[in-house]
Amino acid sequence: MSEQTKAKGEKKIDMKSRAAAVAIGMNILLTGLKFLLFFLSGSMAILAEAWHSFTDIVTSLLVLIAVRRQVHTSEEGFDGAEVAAPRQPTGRMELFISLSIGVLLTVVAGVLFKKFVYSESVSVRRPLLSGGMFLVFAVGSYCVSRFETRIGKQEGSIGLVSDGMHARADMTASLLTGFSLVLYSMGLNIDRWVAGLIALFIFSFGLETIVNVYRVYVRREAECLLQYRSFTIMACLFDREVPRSAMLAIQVFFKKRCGSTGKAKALYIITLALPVIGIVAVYLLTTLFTVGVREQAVVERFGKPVTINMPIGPGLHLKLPWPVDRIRKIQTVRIKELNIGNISDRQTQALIWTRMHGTEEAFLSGDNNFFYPYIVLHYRVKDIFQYLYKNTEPERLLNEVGHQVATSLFARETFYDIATARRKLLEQNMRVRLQVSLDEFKSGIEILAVNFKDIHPPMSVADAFEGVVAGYQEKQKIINEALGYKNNVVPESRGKAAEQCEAALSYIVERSKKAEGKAARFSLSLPGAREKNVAMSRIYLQTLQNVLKEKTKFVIDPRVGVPEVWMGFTGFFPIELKGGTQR
Amino acid sequence: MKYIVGFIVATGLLLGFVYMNSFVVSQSEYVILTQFGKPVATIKSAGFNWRWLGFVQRANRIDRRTHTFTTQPIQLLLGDKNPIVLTSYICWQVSDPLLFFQALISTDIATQKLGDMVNSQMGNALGDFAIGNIINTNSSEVKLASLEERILKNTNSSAQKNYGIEVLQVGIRRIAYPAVVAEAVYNRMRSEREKEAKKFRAEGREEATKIRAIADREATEILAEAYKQTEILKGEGDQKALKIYSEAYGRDKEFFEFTKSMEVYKDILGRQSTLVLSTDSDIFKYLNNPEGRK
Repeated sequence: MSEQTKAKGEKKIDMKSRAAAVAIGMNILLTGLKFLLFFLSGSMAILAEAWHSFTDIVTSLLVLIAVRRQVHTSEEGFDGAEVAAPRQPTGRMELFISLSIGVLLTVVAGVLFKKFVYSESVSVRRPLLSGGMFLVFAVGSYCVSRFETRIGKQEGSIGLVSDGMHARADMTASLLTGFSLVLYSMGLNIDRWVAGLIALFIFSFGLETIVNVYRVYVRREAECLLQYRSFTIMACLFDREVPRSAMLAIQVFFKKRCGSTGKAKALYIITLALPVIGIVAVYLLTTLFTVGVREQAVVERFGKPVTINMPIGPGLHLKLPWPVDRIRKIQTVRIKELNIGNISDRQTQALIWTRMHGTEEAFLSGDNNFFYPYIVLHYRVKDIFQYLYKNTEPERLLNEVGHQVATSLFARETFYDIATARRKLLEQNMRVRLQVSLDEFKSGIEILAVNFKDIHPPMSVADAFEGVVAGYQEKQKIINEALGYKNNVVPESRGKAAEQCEAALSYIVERSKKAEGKAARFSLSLPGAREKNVAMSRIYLQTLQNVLKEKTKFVIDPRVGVPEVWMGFTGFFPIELKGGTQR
Repeated sequence: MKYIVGFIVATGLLLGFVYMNSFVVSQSEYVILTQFGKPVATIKSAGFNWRWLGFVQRANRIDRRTHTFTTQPIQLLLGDKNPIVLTSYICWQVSDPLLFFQALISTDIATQKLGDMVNSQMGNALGDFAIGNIINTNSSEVKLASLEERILKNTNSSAQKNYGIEVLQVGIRRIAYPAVVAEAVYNRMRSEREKEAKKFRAEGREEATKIRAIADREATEILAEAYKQTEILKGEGDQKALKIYSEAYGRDKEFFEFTKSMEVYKDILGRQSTLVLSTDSDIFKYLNNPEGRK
């Protein structure tokens, strides 16, 4: 093998890898755009088509893997003859991924198919725009297909060529979707059918992948990954040889296992009948259904409830098989809750006025104040028939009527009444009025309790509300101080009074005792009649002695007249004496 | 083998045919059957029905249950020029399926139309109401119910005739103020609360002053009473002493007067006193006359 050929080979492979990579890029772009369009329009066909595009990414990836494999294996030098499968067995990991993708796509196809069978035709938004986009996508897919086919043919790679074919199929699907959307805009809704068809495409691809991975695993040939296409697999089922050889194989298998021909034959027939029995059994099983502990069910026969006012309780029950009877189950026993007004975000956090604790929606009270009630309704379904057939969204009705009743009740009350005195009463009123309204609408809902979980003023004003409480506390404080003063002053004066009282009492005692003492002394010193004169004279003289001793005295004899010496004492009786002398 | 395959294929075809040519009406819907777009039948009872191939006759399903939806909040002026933001909800159901189908096609379009109608009716009706009729602590002044009733009546008259819809209830689910007004309300609430707090404090002071005054009065009363009592007691004491004295002294009045006088002399004649005595006085009776005669 010369250097030149090797270089040439590498270059070719490089070219193929690049082509595969470009195809992957294109497909990723298309898939993304298609999913985006689904979210914009809501069309089922677009969803199916987006998934279909997703399968293209997978195919392109598989081609890239296969092409990469050849980089390692073609060193042997089959000059340009990559048509032959490389001998190297494909890695387990790759097989596993392929298999998972196959299973995933089959499931997706199943889901889409179920949607196709069960759902109603949906309304599509912006059908013309989406349809136009899809026609553009179809052109994109066509370009990819042309590009891959050309490179594939040029370089002689089966993988690329078949991927190109796949892209062409994709183009068909895109065209189909586009036209269906355009038709929708004209008033013909085949959206659902197109979705079903594309689901079939996806299913076939999933099936292919699974079968091919199996074959690669068995035969250990990488190129087998792209060998079997859906139609070949389908064709097998209609090939007379295939069932016959399969039957023969089963027959031989049983003959080998057990000797006697009779037993083998019986087993053989049973085996053949198994699929039929299985299908019948599964179908019959649809006649059975269970209703859970908390549930009630209604059986609809061609859309019409079989019994009216007699719901089916928990347990195992019989019905006619699909598609005659269908069941609708509702959890009737379970108590559900609904928040009116505001919803507290976290359950454990303390509900403090000054802290934001939920989705806040202000209500108005009758005295023109904003406030935030957190009302929790507890309810359950009391009549499943009304619940199912009378309102489109009973929960929504409950929510709206709940708001209305709360608003109209609060519009008549002052904030303080709502928050305190009349809270309980309002809860009861709300429950009654809500129930009346709900019964009027035959909603089938029973209100079990209305709870005013929290009622608080706006956060920005909450401090002023707390200020009122502080003011009240201060009022109490001032009063208490005054009471303290009172408690101090009154007893003190009572003490003083008692003191004075005692003093008065002691005065009485003092006075009387003194008097008694004096009286006793007088009595004792009282002389008898005989000694009286003597005693009196003695006392008299004694007293005079005491009194007159050491004092200035003038002793005058009246018969002598006024002595000269008096003149020195004019200060005493000036006028009389002067007068006396002048006279 | 051939028969089995034939049987399966035949059954499949039959089922497919049945499926294509029939439809099921649920308890919760009306179906209007259209043939190439032309309504041919209205089916109002639930059950199994036949039709021609899917693309010839189409079953248009119309939900017959009561629908509920919320209108967008709208700012309106009341009769007294107060702005207010109202959100309402509407409960409605299809009363004439065919008319509904022709006029509105789907519930989405219907709700949009109804929302427009209700909001416009609300604007008309609110002109006759003042803020006091919307929120008021006097329950009889609140006329929310009659407002709702009026909007319902006005909306219904045109909805029923033109759209095949019967409006069952219009309810006001939320009353709010526009942002600017809301700010004013917040300020008013704050000032109200502050007023309340001040009132509490003043009340406290009032009460305290009263308590002090009463306490002072009580104290004075107690002291006065005590004074009265002590005076009485002292009087009693004096009386008692007087009685004792008079009793004792009464036994010899002359002697008492004499001794008392002596005591008084002793007391009143202090050291500084100057006395002028006559030689005629008793004390000097022996001074000139040893016999003591006068």
